[in-house]
Order: sequence, then structure tokens, then C-alpha cells
Amino acid sequence: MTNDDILSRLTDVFRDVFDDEAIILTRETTADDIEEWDSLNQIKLILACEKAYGIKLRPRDINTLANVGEMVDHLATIIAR
Amino acid sequence: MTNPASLLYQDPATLPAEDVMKRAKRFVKNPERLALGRPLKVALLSSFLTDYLADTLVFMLARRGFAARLWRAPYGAIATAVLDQGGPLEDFAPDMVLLLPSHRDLIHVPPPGGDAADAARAEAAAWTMLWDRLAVPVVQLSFDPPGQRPLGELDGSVPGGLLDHVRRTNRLLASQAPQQVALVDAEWLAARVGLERWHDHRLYTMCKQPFSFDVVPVLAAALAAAAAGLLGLGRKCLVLDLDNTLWGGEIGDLGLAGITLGTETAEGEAFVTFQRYVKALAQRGVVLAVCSKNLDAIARTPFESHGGMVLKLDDIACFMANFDDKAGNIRAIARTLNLGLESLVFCDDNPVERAWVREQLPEVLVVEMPDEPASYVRALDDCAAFPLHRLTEEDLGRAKSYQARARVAERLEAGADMDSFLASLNPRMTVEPVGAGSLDRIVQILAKTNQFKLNPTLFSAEEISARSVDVLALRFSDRLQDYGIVAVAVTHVDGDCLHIDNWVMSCRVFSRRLEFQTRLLLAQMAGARGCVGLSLDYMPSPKNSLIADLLPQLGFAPAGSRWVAPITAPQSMPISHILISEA
Repeated sequence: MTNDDILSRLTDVFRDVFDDEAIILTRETTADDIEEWDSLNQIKLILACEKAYGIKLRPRDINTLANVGEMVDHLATIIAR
Repeated sequence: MTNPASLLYQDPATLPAEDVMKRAKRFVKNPERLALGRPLKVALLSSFLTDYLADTLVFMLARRGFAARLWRAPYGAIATAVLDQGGPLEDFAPDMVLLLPSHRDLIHVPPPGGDAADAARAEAAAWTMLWDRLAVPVVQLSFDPPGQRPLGELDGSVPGGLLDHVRRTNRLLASQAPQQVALVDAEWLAARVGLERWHDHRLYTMCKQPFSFDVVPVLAAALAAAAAGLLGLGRKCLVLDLDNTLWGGEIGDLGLAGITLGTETAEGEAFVTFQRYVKALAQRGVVLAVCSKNLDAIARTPFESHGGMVLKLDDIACFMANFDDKAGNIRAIARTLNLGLESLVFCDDNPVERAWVREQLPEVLVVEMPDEPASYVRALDDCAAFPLHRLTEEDLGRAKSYQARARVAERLEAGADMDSFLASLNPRMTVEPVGAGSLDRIVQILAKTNQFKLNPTLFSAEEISARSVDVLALRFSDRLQDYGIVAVAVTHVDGDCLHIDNWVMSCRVFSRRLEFQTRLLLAQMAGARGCVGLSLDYMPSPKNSLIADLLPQLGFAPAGSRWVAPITAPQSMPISHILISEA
């Protein structure tokens, strides 16, 4: 799975979690860009990613990521394992 | 505008939790939808995070007919929130409080071999104290089974086991719960979703929600059902289709020998199982009706002479078999039984009939029946359409009394002379003393009645006990049956009037002229207290409009914000033919 594929699926995950089809993710997107992206929705995102990519994540690893780009890279390393 | 009850027919446990939560979130964002239903201020006190639960809870309450406004205390502070005098909970002034503790709150677990009964008593005492303090209706989740068992197989059965302590405490709480408290059985809920999903230790460490998201809709639905039962919005009557619902095949085409019913075949057994479940509902007070597209005489034959039938004609309060439109027939059933459409549940295997009834009668709960008859019981049971938090004698006798009512309605429609007909029923009324045997029912009828009710004022069991001499509770019977306590008035002397704080009467005994006889008894009470008149506060609602027509007949006239009447009843008042006997 390329990083572009990961970003594209991640966009679906975000749209689903925030119930907003208008969301467009780029590598530069941060929590400040999406109004409802708070700590509670962050947990939903983590669980939704685990389901979507069939992986297990460590919440504290995710919480230190600065933007969507870093998240995509992190997902890529986990998926590659 | 969509009726909230019709928003989601399927049981929440059978839908993906994410979908239900998403729908709930959309629903809560829409203030117009939120305003539908009976307004209810709900305070939610929990020992864990409820942020993910909140929207779904409001949504499930809307499905039960409530327009809920939710206030939540910070989690982990149940007792402090309740005991904080002049605090935010008091400011909010809830109509109902939801208490959600977990097994982590248990603080009196005995050591292995310790005094388990004593420990459970100490545990329960803390909660009954909170119930007393709250003095409003409470729905409480009982303690959930823990996810691990240090004592292994003995954990649930010997003193010192946490599971044993959970079970004992839950039993004790259930036995001590007063009229205004309803418990939701966490042991059963956890078993139903499975402990693997009930406990999500990882999520608990992340955000203090102890269960997985799959639990959210199931828990919210159970809490909302209990609230409906507690506050009188439970449904009362199950309307059943016949062909392919109570038996397999069409009785009109196949005849008695051709329909599939009986434990001899797999499919026949599924229908027997469904009938047994329906029978169990009837035995606890759910009224049964039949609505079938068939010739009446043919539709009745299996009830009369098929060996596989569990249900008998006696179990059916109202039997409608004809080829008319089912929505019209269901309306007629509601009229005959004197129930509102919002009291009805409809089971039909035919998706076209279901869709039609949903469209025509959105107030009726139409069960989403699965294709497989073996799953009928689950589909109906999952609806929890008939929540019950107290089993009273009246619940047990209700089905009979609706059958009697349907017979009376049929004969009245047949045009018999009203006075001689009513007299021929030998109606009798007894003034029932307020006491241990009657208190639950008195509080229940005051809370549950919607149609014959002066105003929304509610009374706690404590208040009724304290004011027992001023409470008029009436039992009614005739030669068909004993209807139990069917009318209650709560009064107090106000100046030279006996003021009626509230007056309710069960719709099962409408058109039996009880209201006129009750008025005479109230006048007697007034006279005995040296009063010269009667007064009351009538607050019109969409449901109690019949009171407006009745009050002038009873001699009441508006005076300022109140209605007043002289002690003497008007000459024109009909004679009730009811004999009064002492208890």
C-alpha cells in the first residue's frame, strides 16, 4: 500500500468519524483544521484506523504526531511490519 | 415531520454501533426533532466517561417519546453530585436521574469467608440513601459483572468473590427499590453483548469508558426503555397478524390440517415458541389483539381446534379478521380497547403491511419481523416495547379486564339500553385504604394515567402515605371481573373547599360512570371535613381533553385559575348504578 493509498483511505476514515463528506485531507492537515477533532474523536480515529487497516496502534504514538503527513508515515511503518 | 418512534425500527444491537451513534449525533444536532415528545430534564451521574453515550441516550429517549434535555455531572462524582446542597444538580432540577455505577464502585467487598450478606447490606445502603435524597424518579444501572475472577469458579458463589458480591448487592437493591426507582439489569445486558465487548480495558485506560462502542446503543436503549416504563410511556397492547405470524401458511387456503404449527416440525416449533412468548407477555399484563386479512370464522378455527395453538381465543381481547385495510382495523382495535395508538405494537410478517401501517399510523410501533420465524421472539423481545419495573396485581389482571371491556364495548355498540345494561353488570366500588397492599398501585396509577387526569402533578409513595386520610382510592368490580384500583383522588382542605390536587381514572373503566360516583364520594369527604364546596386545578393537555367536557357535567365551573363546585351534585348528573361497599 503506497502512502497515497493510505492517505486516501485515511480520508474515508475521517469522513466517517466526523460524519462529514466534505473533509479533504492533505499531509499538512492538523487538528486545528477540523473543528471537531478533539481528544475524544482522536480515540475514535485510532480505533477506526485499526479497523480500516487491520492493525493495532499505540495511542501515545499517535498523540505525538504533528499532522496527517506524519500519521500517514507512521501508519505506513506499522502496516509494513 | 418524522415521528421519533419511527426513526429506527430495528433493534440497536443488530445494527453496527457506529451507524446508530452517527444517526444519534445527527438527530441531536437537529433542534426541531429534539423538541418532539414529552419534555424531560435528565441528569446523568456516572462513575465513568459518558461523552460517547450522551447523544445516543438522547436519541433512544426520543424513540420512547421523550424530548430529553441532558445534564451530566463530571464522571466519578455520583455521591458528591447528589449530596451537594444548592449545587448544580439542584439548579438543574431534573425530572429524572440516571445513575450509572460500575463494579469498580463497590467498596464493601468482604474478605474471602467474610460476612457476604452484611457486606451487601452496607453496599446497598449507600445507594438507597441516594435514592431518598434525590426524591425524583431514578433509573439505575445495577452493578455489572467484573471481567476477571480471582476466585475462579467460586467467584460467583462464595463470600469474598467479587461476582458473588455483585450478585448479592444487585438482588438487594432490586428488593429495596421503591416505586420511583427502576433498575436496569447490567448482569443480563453484559451477558447479552458478551463480557468480551462489555469490558474494554484498553478503552478504559484511554478515556475511562469501560465498555466498547458496541455497548453504547444497547446500554442507551435499555436505559431509555426503563425510563419509559418508570414514567408511564410503555406500550400496552400487542396486535398480531395470523397467517405466517402465529402459524405457517394461510389458513384460508390450506385449512386446519394444512397450516404449519406444532413441535413436530422445525418450522412448526418456531411458531409454537413465538406463541409461548406472546402468552408469557399476556400473563404479565400485555393486552393481545388480532388483526388479520381473513374471514372471521375461518381465522378463529385454529384457536378453537388446532392442537398446536398455545394462544386461545380467551387470550385475545379484540379479534379483527376481515379484508379491510389494516391501518383502519388497528384504529378500530385502539378505539375498542380505549387505548391510544401510541400504546400499540404491531407484529406482521408481511413487509407491505408493515410499511403501510408505519406510514398511516406512525404512533404504532411496528416490529421489524425477520424472515426466519425462529427469530420472531428475539425481534419482539429486543424492542422492549412493554417495559415493566413493578409487577402489580393490576398488571396480572389487566388482560382479563381489557377482554371484559371489549365485550362491554361490543354490547354498548349493539345499542342496548344504557342504564339497564350498566345496572345488569352489578358494578361495585370499594374505598380502598392506603396501605402496604395498595400503595404501589396508587402511585402507579397517578403516574401512568394520561387521559383522565386533571394535571401533571405527581406524588411519591412517601407523600401518599403521609396524606393517606386525604387520598381516595377506589377499587371497582362487576360480575365480569375485579378491575383493581382504578381511580384515585388526592385532596386537602383549602379554606372552605375540599381541594382536589389531582384525580385520575384508568381508561379501562371509561363509560362505566365511575366519575359520577367518585364525585359523590368526594362530596361526602368534603362534608365530613366541614367544607362547603369542591375545587380543583385543571390543566388541559393534548391527552386529557375529555376532562374539559366532563367538569361541567360534574357541576364544576371556572373561578379564576381554579374550577369550583358546590357540594351538591347537579340534578342532571347520570345515575351510576354502582353499589358502594366498605373495604
